[in-house]
Amino acid sequence: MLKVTRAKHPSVPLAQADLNDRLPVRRRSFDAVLCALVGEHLSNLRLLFREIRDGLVRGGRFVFSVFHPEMAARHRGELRAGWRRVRLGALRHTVVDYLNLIDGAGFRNIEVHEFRGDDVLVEQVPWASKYLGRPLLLAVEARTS
Amino acid sequence: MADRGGREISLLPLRQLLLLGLGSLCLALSAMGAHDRLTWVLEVSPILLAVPVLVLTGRRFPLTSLAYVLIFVHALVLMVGGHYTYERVPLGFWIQRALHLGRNDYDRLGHFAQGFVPAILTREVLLRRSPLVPGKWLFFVVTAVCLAISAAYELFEWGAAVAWVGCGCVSRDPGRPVGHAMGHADRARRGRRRAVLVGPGPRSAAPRSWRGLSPGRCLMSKRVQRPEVRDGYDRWSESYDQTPNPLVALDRRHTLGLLRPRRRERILDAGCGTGAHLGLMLRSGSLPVGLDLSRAC
Repeated sequence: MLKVTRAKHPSVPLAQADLNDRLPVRRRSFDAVLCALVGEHLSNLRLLFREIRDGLVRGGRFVFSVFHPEMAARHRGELRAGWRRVRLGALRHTVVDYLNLIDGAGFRNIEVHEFRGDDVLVEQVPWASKYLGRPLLLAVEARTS
Repeated sequence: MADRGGREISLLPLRQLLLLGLGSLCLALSAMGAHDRLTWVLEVSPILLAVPVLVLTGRRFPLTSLAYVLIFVHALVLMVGGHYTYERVPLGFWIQRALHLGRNDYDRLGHFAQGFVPAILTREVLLRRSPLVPGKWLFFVVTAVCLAISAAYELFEWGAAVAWVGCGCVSRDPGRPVGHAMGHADRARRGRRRAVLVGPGPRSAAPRSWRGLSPGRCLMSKRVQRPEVRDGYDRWSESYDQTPNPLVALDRRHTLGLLRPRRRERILDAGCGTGAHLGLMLRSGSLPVGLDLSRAC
């Protein structure tokens, strides 16, 4: 995927890193951190959230989004790559797991958002009508103190 | 039971014993009053070769019930062909009259079985004892095996016909049987993919009856792959942005709105994937950096 990203955005610095491990970033070097749609694949979230907190400046913003655990518990995340279906290993973290770990890493002002399937979504992805009204995306906003 | 066939046979499961007994009875009946004794021997010789192998492996490597039943049916087709000779099978005449065909087409039934049954067997054995998984390579190998069996069988028939001229067992459609068998092998493969699937089953020799499979097992046997996370996303990378995905769509609509990137801000995207968020951050004038586990080249 980084290959594709590099071709699309040649000006953006990119690095290959395992988010279960220590991050190759300097302390207090970012104003904001986004971590979108990877949480369910990570086993060491405790370390990740601490590393992100360390990488943020004081008052820095953190946004974490993930496939809503309520849906993840019901549906196997299955992707379509060409004519094949691919099922990636996903861990069963719960909403409380995520919130406790973010809180435990020392973040403050934690706000939780749930986004549900709606008409706009069905317009974009017609087969998503089964998600109408169901919580599909969990997003957590937090700040460093 | 132990007195007749010794320990190996007596330990076979009841279903297999039943098929074995029934098959032996039919074999004896087909031998009685056979149209031509030599033809009968030649036609049933595959049964005489296969049955001892199945009996010996019946406990250590039991096949599925479906496979045993298909072998039994195939054996019946051969026995009937051997009893009457293929050109004179009454069933063939009946079909000829009913459908106004030019000739007795019983040999085509034989060729159908010759492609279909070995395909099912080969597929089962390969799935259980080789690293092959359902897909193109399994199809190729199964087809190749069936074609090889059919070709070898036709050569054998041809040799037998040359050696014993006048024997009624030779195919009157030289070349066609292999083609038929190939089509039937393909049909068997397609049908089988939906119906059953014995997963690669690492060490288990237990037969998996197709009714006994759990739904999860069946799903897995379809074309679902379970790669490691990194491999999976790398494989997905080319089509990720084009594949409609409700979760990704919802994330793109809302998440960056929560982050509110501003001009000149340094932002880390941990798990940037194909960089959709990076592009939006760039557009807002911030200075993004991306981290991802996937391969960079």
